[in-house]
Amino acid sequence: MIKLHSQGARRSTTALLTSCLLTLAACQKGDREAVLTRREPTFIGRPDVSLGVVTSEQRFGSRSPSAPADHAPHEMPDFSFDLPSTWKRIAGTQMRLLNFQIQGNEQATCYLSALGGNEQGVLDNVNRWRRQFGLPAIDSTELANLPQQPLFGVPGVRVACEGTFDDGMGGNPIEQAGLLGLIVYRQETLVFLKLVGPKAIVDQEVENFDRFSASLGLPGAGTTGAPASGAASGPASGERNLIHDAPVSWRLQAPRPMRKLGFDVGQDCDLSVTLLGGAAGGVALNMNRWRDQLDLPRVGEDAVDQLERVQILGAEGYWLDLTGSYKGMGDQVQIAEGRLMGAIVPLGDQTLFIKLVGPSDQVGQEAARLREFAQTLRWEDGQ
Amino acid sequence: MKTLVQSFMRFFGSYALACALLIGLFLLTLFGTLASTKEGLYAAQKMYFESWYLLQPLGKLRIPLPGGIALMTMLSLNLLVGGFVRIRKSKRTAGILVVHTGIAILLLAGLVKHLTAVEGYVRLYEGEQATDFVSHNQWEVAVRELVPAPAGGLTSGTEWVVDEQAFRGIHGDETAYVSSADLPFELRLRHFVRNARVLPKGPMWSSDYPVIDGFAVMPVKPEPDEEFNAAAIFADVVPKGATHEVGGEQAILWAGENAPFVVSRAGKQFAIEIRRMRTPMPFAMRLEKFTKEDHPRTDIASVYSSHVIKIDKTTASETPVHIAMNEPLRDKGIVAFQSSWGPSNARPGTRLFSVFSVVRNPSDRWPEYSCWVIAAGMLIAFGQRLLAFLKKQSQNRQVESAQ
Amino acid sequence: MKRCMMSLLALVAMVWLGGIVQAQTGSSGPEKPERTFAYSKEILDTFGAIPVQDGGRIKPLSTLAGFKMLRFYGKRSMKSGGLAPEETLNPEAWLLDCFFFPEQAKRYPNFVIQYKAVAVAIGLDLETKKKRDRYSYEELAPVRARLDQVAGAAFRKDSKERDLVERQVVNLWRNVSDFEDLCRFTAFAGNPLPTSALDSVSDLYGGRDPELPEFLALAPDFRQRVIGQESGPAWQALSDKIDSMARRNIGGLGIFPPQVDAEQEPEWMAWPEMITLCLQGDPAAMAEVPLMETLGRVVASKNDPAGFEAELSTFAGEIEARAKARGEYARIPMERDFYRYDFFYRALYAFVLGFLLIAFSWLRSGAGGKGSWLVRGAWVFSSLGWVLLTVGITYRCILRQRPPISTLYETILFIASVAVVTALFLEWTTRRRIGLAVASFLGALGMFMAGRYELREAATAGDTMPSLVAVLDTNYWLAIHVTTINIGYAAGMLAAALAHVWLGSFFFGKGRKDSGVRAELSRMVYGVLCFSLLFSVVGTILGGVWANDSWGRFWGWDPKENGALMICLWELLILHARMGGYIRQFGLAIMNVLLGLVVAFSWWGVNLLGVGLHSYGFTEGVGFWLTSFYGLELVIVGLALFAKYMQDRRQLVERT
Repeated sequence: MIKLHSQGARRSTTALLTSCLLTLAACQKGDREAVLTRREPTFIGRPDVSLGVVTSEQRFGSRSPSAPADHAPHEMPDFSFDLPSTWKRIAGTQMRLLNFQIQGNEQATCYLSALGGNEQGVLDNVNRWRRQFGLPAIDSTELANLPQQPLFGVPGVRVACEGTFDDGMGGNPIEQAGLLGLIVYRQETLVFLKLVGPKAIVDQEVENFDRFSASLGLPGAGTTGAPASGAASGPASGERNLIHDAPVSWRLQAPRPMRKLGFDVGQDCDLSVTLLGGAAGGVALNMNRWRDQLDLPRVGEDAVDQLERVQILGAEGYWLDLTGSYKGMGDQVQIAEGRLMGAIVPLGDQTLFIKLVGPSDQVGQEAARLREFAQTLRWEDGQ
Repeated sequence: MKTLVQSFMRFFGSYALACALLIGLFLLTLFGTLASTKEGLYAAQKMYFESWYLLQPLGKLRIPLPGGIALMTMLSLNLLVGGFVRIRKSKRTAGILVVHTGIAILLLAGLVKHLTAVEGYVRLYEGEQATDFVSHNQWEVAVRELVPAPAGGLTSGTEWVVDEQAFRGIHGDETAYVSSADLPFELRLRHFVRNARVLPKGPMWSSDYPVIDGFAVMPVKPEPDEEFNAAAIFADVVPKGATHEVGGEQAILWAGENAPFVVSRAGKQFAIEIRRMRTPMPFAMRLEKFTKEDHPRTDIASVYSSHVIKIDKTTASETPVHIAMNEPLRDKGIVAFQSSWGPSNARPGTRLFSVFSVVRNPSDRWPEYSCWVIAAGMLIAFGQRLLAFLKKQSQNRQVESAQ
Repeated sequence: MKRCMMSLLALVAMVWLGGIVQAQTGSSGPEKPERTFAYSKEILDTFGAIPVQDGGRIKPLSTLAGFKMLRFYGKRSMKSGGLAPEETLNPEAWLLDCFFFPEQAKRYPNFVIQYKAVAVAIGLDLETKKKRDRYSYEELAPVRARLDQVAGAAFRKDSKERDLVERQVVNLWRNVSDFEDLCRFTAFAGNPLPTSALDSVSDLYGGRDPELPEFLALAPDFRQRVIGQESGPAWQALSDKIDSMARRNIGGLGIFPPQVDAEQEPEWMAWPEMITLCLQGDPAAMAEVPLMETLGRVVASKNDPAGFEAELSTFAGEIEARAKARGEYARIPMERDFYRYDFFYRALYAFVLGFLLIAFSWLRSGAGGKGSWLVRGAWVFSSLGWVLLTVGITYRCILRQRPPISTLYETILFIASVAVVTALFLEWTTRRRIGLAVASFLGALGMFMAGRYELREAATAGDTMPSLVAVLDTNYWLAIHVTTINIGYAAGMLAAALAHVWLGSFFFGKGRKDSGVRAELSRMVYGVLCFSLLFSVVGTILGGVWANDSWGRFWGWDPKENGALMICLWELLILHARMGGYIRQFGLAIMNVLLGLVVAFSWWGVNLLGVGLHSYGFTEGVGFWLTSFYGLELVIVGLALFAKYMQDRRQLVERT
């Protein structure tokens, strides 16, 4: 061991130790003084946009003022086009990327759609349209003689027909109808722009049709090419988009063919938001369809009047809350104590279905959030 | 005097000390590892390995133990005196001397890192840019002068910062007085809360802290991972020179707020906030493109990397750089690593961000060098012994077969 | 005469008819297998060789089947108990039944429930079943909802906070859900789509209701037809059906290889995903529809053994061809061989035999000289065991295209291999039969551990060759750091094992020759310790360098890093204590036994702590084994210290 031989050494060591201890004691407790160091401005990520003096409510409240969200909302850019004054944009459907009503006439519409296909599809579809007018099919030589007109910068074929229009879907045929259409093919996709309606109206809209088709641009950075490939990654671009504020705990599902929106909710619940054209069979029929899925007995038309009314998307809808043994559809797992909560909202030209289904207790927990979610639904273009 | 030096050398160069220190470090590492499960890595690291001493809880007792820094200092001393000075220098000990050199390099690297290194992260979405990296677990209080932005609204101009040494742990009556010559006001900081929520003060709960504008601070149990904590602190803005007088504009500063506290003084607006500490990099980074691939049909990321533009702050020249897992960017004393990405529950089509770990550490590559030195030393030392052993074995066998 | 014959014939006819009637009503009770034929070897081989994409890699169905069965059932062969034509079902047969005869598979005792408390928690009726038993899906059906509930509650807890019952319930739920997925593999067959009710498309399918493959083959036309017509109850019913089938987790096994390069499209498809894509006209998905049709034909022929075999061959052939075209088939036969050869199980036998032989030679110590046949036999078997083990490791390297260690399971194999070869080298230089004994013992122990741990891996990762997370996806560092540090672990365990032998000699050997042996043993221990120190220190620092390159910090005081550091510190302590004269042979032995504890802590213990960047290993239930090992070793050390104390006291007494 070290032997401290001299008293001086011993004293200095003690002094050293004592002063250490004292400094240690002083360091932690009590008031402090510090200097703010000046430095260059920092920039992390997004610009620090400040609103100046704000209230505590704004600083700590649950809804922040226009402070940028942590991630950009799921924006789906729309097609760009010059909309003719006589055309009114209406809701798209699964198959119609853009949909317009002409001159306020129910039977006159113009819509844009796309399909995967091959070169041959052009002729096939020309003939399909011709069939709808009861016209004989043409062959490839005659196809080559049809006038050419571009769509999205891609050369395509322009089709014009007249006669009695019967689309073969069970709707009423239109006598003295006309059709104007463009079919283009590029990169394994066929794109159709079809204007159909009473001949008188179609004849009046020729110029508008040409101007519109020339002005039509793809969503996003204006790349040429078929929009169909973009459809795989999100809701069909150009359709009228539904905006919503979903709770953070709900997980947005990848797009599916038959629904507008889908969420995985809670542990085992599934929420779907679907839009179907027209009345979709009516409220009673759909209510009974859901009751079937829950193994509940059917009810009559008058039961609809007993349903709670809600305002969704600016229209009056019916709120449903059903409990039963959920059979599911096809191969879905059964839920013994299942609950279905949602809404059926007739919107005029289409019907909105909101359907949350899952184990009873979980659905109960999500009930308030579901109502709130339904209230936040709105169309992108504000209509 | 001479005997004092001799006994000093004998003590510090002894095997006994070496063994005691090794046992000490071993136990410290063991306790620190066990503690990290409860307290989290960061807290355990600070308490056990970056301290001079600690009080180890053992049941109800608290046993004082030397901390990592104390032990490593003593070990370095022991290594120097015993491993270099007092050791017999011969062919037999050549390998060991090399090993000790390697260990010395390692310890030195640790010291340099402890004293001078700063660590943090940068999180960027594609198209975003950063001039600084952000600390995971250290706070600072910042004052930003707000100037009009070209696109409307206000944006930051000059900043003033004070790091958490000034206010961390402040509680009760303690006050930190913070000021700067260029600012037209001074700050008084009180009540630092490590993890908190700021909520409207209702009748249902009570707060130990002052209520300001109907909002109060509710302390929340701190997470072991400091990254998930949102600190809060109370700030009084007082006129210059009046720091010890009562009054001033009061506010709660909170890491989780929507907007900073802003005051108008001397015709300018200043934002005052508590935020994670920022350290400037000699260049700015802009994320051009982040790519991630998963192993097919799984959620496990197989490869992810970022294409980044490095913008020199002095010359504004831009250089494209590729940063990937295990391929960091090393430049001007900064090392930036691709460490992760998010959001963690991303669905296909969600916008992703890339996270880089950034470190400024002069002794970045020293451990690698020490590794080779140690390996060489050990190969020499043990190789010698192995050869001797084998020689003896074959001698023994010869003797035995001759019998 | 004629009447005799007639009555004889009538009698025979009655007996014959009676037999049929009896067979159809009485003999097999209410549960009769749907499948009437046993799978031929050809069917099993063809099926097992079909490649599938699972867990991020392409593997043969035999591997998938093996691990699924191991996970659900605990073993790689299942007694069918009369529910199937075969007595024992191997994994391929079992999986075939899950795919093609799901109703039958649901009656197999697939799920092992180890603890009564688990059964009680989910509400199973335990009247007829013993404590540890296996349950069929049908038996679990009444409590399926309850299982969901309890598992859901357990899920909401942090995984570290779940107790044993909760962990088991979660496992059971995962297994049951997985099983349901497997049973839905061919769910599209026999499930026609109600297109006939929808006027716009009914003629497309000839007025019938098509099954999914046929429906999808004409999906683009279907879609054209229904544009703007999505309304009405018929449409609802059809779209609901399509929607329900398209959910990803139904039968979602990636078995259809795309027809393009693997670079372009690495993901294989499962048929539920193809539905959406086909409706969108995606050409890649459309190109897969013929494969689905082939699968449909396999299902259709399932009751005819010859037909089934033929269709299955066709199906397997088509998939194989596509996989080959993508260059993803190369290692499938090799993987099948790997599992068929069962290297590690055979190595276990070899090591055990080797150990028995050397143990006998010790018992017959006098007669068992150096060249005796027992010793030679032990050499042969231990070496054979090592060769099997190392060849197995090599196979794995080639199959995974990685250096030998990338998962915790592989550390067991590697460490065993290094320990055995080092011990054999020691034997070769010292010829004391100690090295041989230790080699075969450690080899056998290692193989046993590997077998048990494989069960764990099956339960958690579903495979012992999982895909690696991105930070581990670097062959350079995996080869350098991980290998080095595992060599360090292996040598450390070997030193500990040799120290045990020293202690054994200390307890039982009092003669002069024995003390000579002990001196040599002590030197061996010292040598192996130095070997371990070299690799442990270099490996630990390399680990830091790797961490620095990928996470930006050399040393984070992470539990795994601390564990490695503790090994280095302990080994350095032993060396310095020895150099300083504080310990001699006895002390060296004791400290090396304790080294074994330190290595075990670093190897296994830190993974149980679950904190930090290093929690890669999944180790439920390892805690029990580790604690037992610690207990045993501490008892040994305690006894040794006591014996030394008594010996010292006796020597003191003798001297005075």
